[in-house]
Amino acid sequence: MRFTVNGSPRDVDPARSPTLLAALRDQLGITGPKLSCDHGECGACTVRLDGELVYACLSLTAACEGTQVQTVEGLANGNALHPLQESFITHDAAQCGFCTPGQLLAAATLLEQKPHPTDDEIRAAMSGNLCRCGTYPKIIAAIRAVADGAGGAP
Amino acid sequence: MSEKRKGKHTTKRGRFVQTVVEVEGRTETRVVELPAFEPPPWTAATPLTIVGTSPLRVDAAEKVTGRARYTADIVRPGMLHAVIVRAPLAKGTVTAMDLDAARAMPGVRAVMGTGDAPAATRLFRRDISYAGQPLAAVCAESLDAAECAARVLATSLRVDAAPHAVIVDDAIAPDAPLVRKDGNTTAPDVVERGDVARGLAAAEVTITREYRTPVALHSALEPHGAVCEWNGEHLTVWESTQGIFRVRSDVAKALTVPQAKVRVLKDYMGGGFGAKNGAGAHTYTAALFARQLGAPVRCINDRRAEQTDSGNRPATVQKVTIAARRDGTLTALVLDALIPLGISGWEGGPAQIFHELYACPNVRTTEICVYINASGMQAFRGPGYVEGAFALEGAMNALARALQIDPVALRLKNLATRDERANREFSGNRLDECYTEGMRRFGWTSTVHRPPPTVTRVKHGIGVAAQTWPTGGGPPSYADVRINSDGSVDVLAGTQDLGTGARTILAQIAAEALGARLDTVRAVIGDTERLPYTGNSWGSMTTPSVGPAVRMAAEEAKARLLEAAAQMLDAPVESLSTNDSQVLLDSVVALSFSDLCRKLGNVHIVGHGSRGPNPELAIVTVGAQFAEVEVDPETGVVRVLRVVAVHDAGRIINPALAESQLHGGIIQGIGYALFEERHIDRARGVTLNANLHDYKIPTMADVPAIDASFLDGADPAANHIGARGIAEPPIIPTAPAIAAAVADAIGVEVCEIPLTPWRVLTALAQ
Amino acid sequence: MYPFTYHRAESATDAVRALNAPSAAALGGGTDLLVAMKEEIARPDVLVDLRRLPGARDIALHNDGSARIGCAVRLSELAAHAGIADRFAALAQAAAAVGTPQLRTMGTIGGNLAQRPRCWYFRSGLPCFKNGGTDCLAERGENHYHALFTDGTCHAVHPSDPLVALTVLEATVEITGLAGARILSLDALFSRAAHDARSELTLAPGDYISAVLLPASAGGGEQFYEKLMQRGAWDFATVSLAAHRRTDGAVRIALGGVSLGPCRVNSSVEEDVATGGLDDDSIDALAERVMYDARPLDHNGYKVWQAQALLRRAMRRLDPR
Repeated sequence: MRFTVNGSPRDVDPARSPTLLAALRDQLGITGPKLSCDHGECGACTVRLDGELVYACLSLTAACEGTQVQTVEGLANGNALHPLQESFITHDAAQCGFCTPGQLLAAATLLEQKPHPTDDEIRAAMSGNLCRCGTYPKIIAAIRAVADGAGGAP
Repeated sequence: MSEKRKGKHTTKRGRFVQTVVEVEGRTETRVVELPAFEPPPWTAATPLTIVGTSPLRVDAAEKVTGRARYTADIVRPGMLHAVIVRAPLAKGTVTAMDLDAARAMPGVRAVMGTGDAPAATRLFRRDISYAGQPLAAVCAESLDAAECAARVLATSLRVDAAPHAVIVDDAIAPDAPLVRKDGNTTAPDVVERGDVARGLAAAEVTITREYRTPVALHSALEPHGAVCEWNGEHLTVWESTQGIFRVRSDVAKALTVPQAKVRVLKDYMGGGFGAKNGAGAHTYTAALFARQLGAPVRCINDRRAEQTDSGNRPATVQKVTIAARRDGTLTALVLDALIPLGISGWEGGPAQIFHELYACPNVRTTEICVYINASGMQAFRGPGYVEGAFALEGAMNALARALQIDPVALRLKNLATRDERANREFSGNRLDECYTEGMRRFGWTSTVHRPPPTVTRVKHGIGVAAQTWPTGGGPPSYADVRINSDGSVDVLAGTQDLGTGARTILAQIAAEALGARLDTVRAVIGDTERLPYTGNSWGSMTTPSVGPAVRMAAEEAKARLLEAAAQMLDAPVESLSTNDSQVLLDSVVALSFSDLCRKLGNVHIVGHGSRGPNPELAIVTVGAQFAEVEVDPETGVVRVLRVVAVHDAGRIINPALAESQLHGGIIQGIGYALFEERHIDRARGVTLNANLHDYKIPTMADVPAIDASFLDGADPAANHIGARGIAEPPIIPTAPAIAAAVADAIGVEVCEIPLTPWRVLTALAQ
Repeated sequence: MYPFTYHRAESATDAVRALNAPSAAALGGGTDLLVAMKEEIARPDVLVDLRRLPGARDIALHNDGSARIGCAVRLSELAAHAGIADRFAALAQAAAAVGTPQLRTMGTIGGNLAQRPRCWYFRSGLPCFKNGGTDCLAERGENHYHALFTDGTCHAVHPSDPLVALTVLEATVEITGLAGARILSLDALFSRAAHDARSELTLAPGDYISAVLLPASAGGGEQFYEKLMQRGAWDFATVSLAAHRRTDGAVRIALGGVSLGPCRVNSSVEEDVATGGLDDDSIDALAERVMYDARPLDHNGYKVWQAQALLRRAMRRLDPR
């Protein structure tokens, strides 16, 4: 079965990995999306499927044939980090970093849909990604900075 | 000054002394080696240029790109996957399990059951004493194959069930089933100072309350896990852990292997919060299968296992009596606490903060630990103090209401000016300033004589609570600082970064002490084979324990570098200094580190550092938090609107990272106050909410405006970098501050957390 | 997960044929089905993906004011659809109240109605009624999140937000099966929910929900959905309420989080609200009357208070004067 991951065509065997998360991690070695709850209850596996935000742990590999998948590994443009990645760095928006790949994809999706969200809209759009370290205030600040055009500046 | 204190405190036997070390609120006496020298302390007046600033987290780029490799991301050639089969009920005996059926499954390489693991691992025992206990394990070529075989094993399992007790009331009932052979309760641990009877008699107001706190689950997003690989007799363990050396000693002991043949590696980890302080069932399972099969084995908890059997903050039942004169002067504090630990655990009980936070002459605490048929406790951020603060600070707030005294004024009146529990002076304690600065930032208006609650639908309230937490850290901890032939610097310390920022701040400390540019300094951590020993990253002690060792190592390296420079420059060493990776002669740049080191070639410039003993002082981090909430009295739903936190932790090495720690503690405290609670079925003894939906940790939608800060300053009496620990303190006062705000909003105290709709509405109905 | 095969249905006939197999399951977003499979409370041999069926992703607003929502329309689409928000605001609000952005992006309206209960005894694989046992284990256990009303053995609640809105909008569902398409009321769809261990839906082999149908009477008026949760997001409702004052003045009110199927309040209460002019005492009395038959268990009595609070607010909001 073939689909596109971060711009490159990739082949996986859906029988070996029923979920997209398992296919990415175990067959393609793409470990940005994390296995944490495996039940759509934490957001650590968040990826984008045809541009839309989904939990990879609840996405069926077989149903992804022909789709475009984006993980955190595909967020930067070569060595040039995505503005949100820069902003997460400058705002210290990653503590342990385990939820960060999912947070970044959720944030990127939000800003594509709503380039200038209010703080409440940020909270709502990011509420499907848990962070046990409690980095939320700095994630909000990092998103806020990009939305306000402040880019990576803290 | 500090030498004199040390002399009083320690028993010197040559280069070795006995000293008292505090870990997670418990004290231990240890013999430690005295450092060869102690640099003069960095005081508040010492001009520092790197320490105290907020350079970016050094590993942030790895984290935002997905390059950071966590334990489950480790893939070894030919790696196999292990799954643990766990007990489906709380007490009984395994009578049958069809291991052969599992062995016959496709892809299965090995199976372990009763009796197949060394006794020291405590794995796969016939007797079941809690639901979730490991009973068997499967190793297969894929995780899917291992899980399929594990299901077959679980289905074949036959168990004679026995009566159990999973809640405290059942375990202390007269006809309670025996949870442990030696009984269901520990002997009462009574600690008393002064004369409580006299204190109670002298009181003009006495308040008694019973507080209850829930079992809370750490819920790190990265579950416990290990990858183990043998190379001949040598074992390598990749483990998500707060203590690589502890994992090494645990594994070496359980598998009877010399520590020298076990290497533990930890690069990135997805949170620990106290639950990852040693090897666990997953580690032993992976190591045993890997040895048996001659292949690397990965064993990672699934979420159910993680929420069931990886540690917890135990529940408490705390009966508190607080007695005072009408002017607010405390005359007695009494705590009677029951702590259902689970099947095992240590007493991280709630009592200690009762002895420490206030200057009360008469205090008596009685703690009884209760064993129940549930997974054992593990330290969880601020163990004991979090639970104790909810009761103590709740009672203080109740007293303030009863006396019509402002709760901050009541606290300031009873401020502890020394550690009355251990009869010591504080190295530094500016809790009074935390209150005043917090009041200013919050815009605190006294809760006394406020107009009665309005009839509007949503009610607002404000509340305050305080914390103390022993954060001295202590020996042993070692570090080396190595200057390379290009002038770049390696800081070598066998510690670990849980997401706290240890990698960053240790580099800052070394750069500061060396006079090196921060971007030339790299902290290498997380490897037992290549790095000097440090203790676990627990008890908020990495900075105060490892930090001084790193500074000392850097100072020694600098001294050697300057001796070499003195030769090269033909100048007296006293005239040399360093700054910005340059050697200065009489304050003028004479030579860069890189030029100097290049000329030295491969001459090894290495400094060794070790953590010296603590002074005979109480070293604590303190703070006050203020919360504003909104309560819907018709639905019982509570929302936290804002939290102001001001803490005093001595010197802050990196304010941005320290602020992140405060945010984390406060947000976990919000979860503890409002949502988090393990639900266990009393009849079946099984955890019902072993997942991340029904065990509710805060989402971004639950996070209020947070203004969190530290007082400026330094604590040179604590250690020579002047820093105390910060990780645990911020979670301690959050829940009682929120509970006080809820009581202020609705006019009724809710003495049990979490403050769920059912508890709020039930309290309002009474 | 146990092994399964994946079948992408290309036509209604194909879907019915595939779903007529002994152990086939209809797949929408998978946000519940995959969880159920991982928890081993569902063990289908074949997953029949309905998302590519012709028309399954369509929202059709008809000129007569009625609407047809294809089974694979996603909750995020319902929440964001201007026509739905304009005509059927309660449904749009309920769709927006589901879970998280990811779950709304993935979840379909058909799957949302067909999801299994979130009762933690059921989900933990304990031998409860829904897992093939004889008793409801929650009845005398930890039942904080359980039902106030049940006509059967099971005390679980239906987790859906949209179901509550669809109930007040008097929506029906189009079922496609071996005999073609037929229309079922929501009451009929859930009539055996608390009695049937296998499913909450009265569907025969081969059947699937192919569309949700909104009558013209559901459009416009005053309508809304309110949801109570512990956390600010992600939770299923402890109690929720949908209400509709129709353009013809009739009132419909339904509660969520209190039963395993649609829960319209007593029609005499709806009539009193429609008449209007209620003072605080009569509002209190009506809210109590709605909950008169509630049978709270040891830990879920608070839901009675929560429901009454939502009812009082709704009655004030719906009062025509």
